[in-house]
Amino acid sequence: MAQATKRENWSGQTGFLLAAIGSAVGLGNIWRFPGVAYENGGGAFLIPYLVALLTAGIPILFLDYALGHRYQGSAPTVFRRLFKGGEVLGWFQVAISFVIMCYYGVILAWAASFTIFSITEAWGDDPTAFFLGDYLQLADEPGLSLDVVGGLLLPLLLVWLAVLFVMVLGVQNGVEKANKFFLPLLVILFAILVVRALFLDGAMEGLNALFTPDFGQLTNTDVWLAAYSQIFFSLSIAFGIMITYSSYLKRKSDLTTTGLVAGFANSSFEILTGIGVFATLGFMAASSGVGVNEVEGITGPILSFVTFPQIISMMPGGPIFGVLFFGSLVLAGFTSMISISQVVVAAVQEKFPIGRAAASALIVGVCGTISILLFATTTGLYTLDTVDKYINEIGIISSAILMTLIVAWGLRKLPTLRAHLNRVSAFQVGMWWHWLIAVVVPAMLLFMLGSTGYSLLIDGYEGYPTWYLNLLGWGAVGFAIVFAVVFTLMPGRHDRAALDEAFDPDDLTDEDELEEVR
Amino acid sequence: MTGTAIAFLLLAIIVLWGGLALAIVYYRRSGAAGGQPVRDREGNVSIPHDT
Repeated sequence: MAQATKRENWSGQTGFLLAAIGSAVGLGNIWRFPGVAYENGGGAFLIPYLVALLTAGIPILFLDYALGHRYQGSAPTVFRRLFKGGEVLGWFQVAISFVIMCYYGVILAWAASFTIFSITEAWGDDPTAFFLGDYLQLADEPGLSLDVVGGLLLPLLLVWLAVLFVMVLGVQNGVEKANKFFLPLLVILFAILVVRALFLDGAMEGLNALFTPDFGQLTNTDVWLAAYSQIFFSLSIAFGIMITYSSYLKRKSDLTTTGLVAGFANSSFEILTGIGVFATLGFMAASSGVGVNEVEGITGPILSFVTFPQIISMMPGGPIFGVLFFGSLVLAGFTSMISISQVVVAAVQEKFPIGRAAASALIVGVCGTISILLFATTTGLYTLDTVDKYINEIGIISSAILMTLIVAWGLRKLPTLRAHLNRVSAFQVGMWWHWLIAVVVPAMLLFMLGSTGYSLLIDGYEGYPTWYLNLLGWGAVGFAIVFAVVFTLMPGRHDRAALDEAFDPDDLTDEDELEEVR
Repeated sequence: MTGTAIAFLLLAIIVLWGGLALAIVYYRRSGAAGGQPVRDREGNVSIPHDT
């Protein structure tokens, strides 16, 4: 058998841990969690949130880690080694990552631009008109325009070059080093921002609004659904990232303890963002002479690119605060972006006889072009909003349901995976994990999928035209399915079958020189 | 801030940041952060499980 290049590894377990946290801590932690918590019971939301973390988030994280570490590969390789025909599920996860990668770059470009705009408060007196009008040149109606917004091109180009640079450097020199530098920097920047926010007038009123519990909400199924969704979308689970990342761990690596640290670190950062964002919103409410409950635009891009600029203009030292906030967005988004990119690059590299640099350049080139043509146009915001909604809430949830049901019920592999986790980990996983992965998680996910799918089919989304939702929303999900089938059927490297046959998932020998492929 | 809001703020910090601190202690004691797991005089690893 020809000796191929040695498979890449993290330099150590802490490198993997930081990368896993960097992937989980993303834009959703900053612009989604605080608003979701506030709208779903405030302090009382912590109860379903914690239940969701312990019964779904961390168990699925363990499942992803076990799959990637035991079967040593990107998602298509892992599922192919797991069962015949499994490659298509792996490529479906890669397709989801590919779609997200295309629009995530655009959001990073916005955040990078606003970091610069903060210095001069370039949005002037009307941040809404600036963001939607001057900056995005947003069309009045959703549609498919090819009218590219010139001002978006330079930041977008810089974002893609940065992604390409990290990808080309590889797992240890690129992904790991970027996370080791950017993640601590993010925590420092955001901690400074939170401390500053806590000393603003009205900050305590903001925290009061966020943490005052509304226990009546605990009987509302939508609140529990929101908690499971928040945990699920925040942890970067079930679409190939953690499978790919854990495949680069050495054979004797602690998986469950690392998963516990990553899960709790992600949630700890969300609490920090909740404190920072609501202290700041409290200041805005106090300055405007209204209650916190009357402040609008408390989640998503509008929170970041309209509400925060308004607040920055109101406060003393606003430009510094703006640089801290948007700089944090860039860092949080970038560490997540490289994890998403790694899923696609690793899958392509493992399937085709192509080097890392070429695979990275190809994928960044294709994604970059799509990002310009679809998301950097005058209708880009509508497209991004639609694709994001469907690919997350239909695509990722479907992927997770398939993964858990196939592993738990189709293949009955949970005992093997649990034994694998316990063989290498200090924190031992009991039978409770089986029940959670086989029953609780699929039940919750099916409920989420049914609820969202029904709502999208009956009510549509944001009042967008049906043809538009069919083309770009359901179309994005359809694209992921077609992408998965096509890439599964495409002929790949000739040595894959032999490598799969020679691969022994039970072998935990750290013989790096024998771990060929790639 | 009201007393209830302060209580829930503290609860969030204690449960989530406390959980993180506990997980980090576990991570370090297991030897995952590098080095060997913490052993007693007989050389056994009591908590966490010896891998």
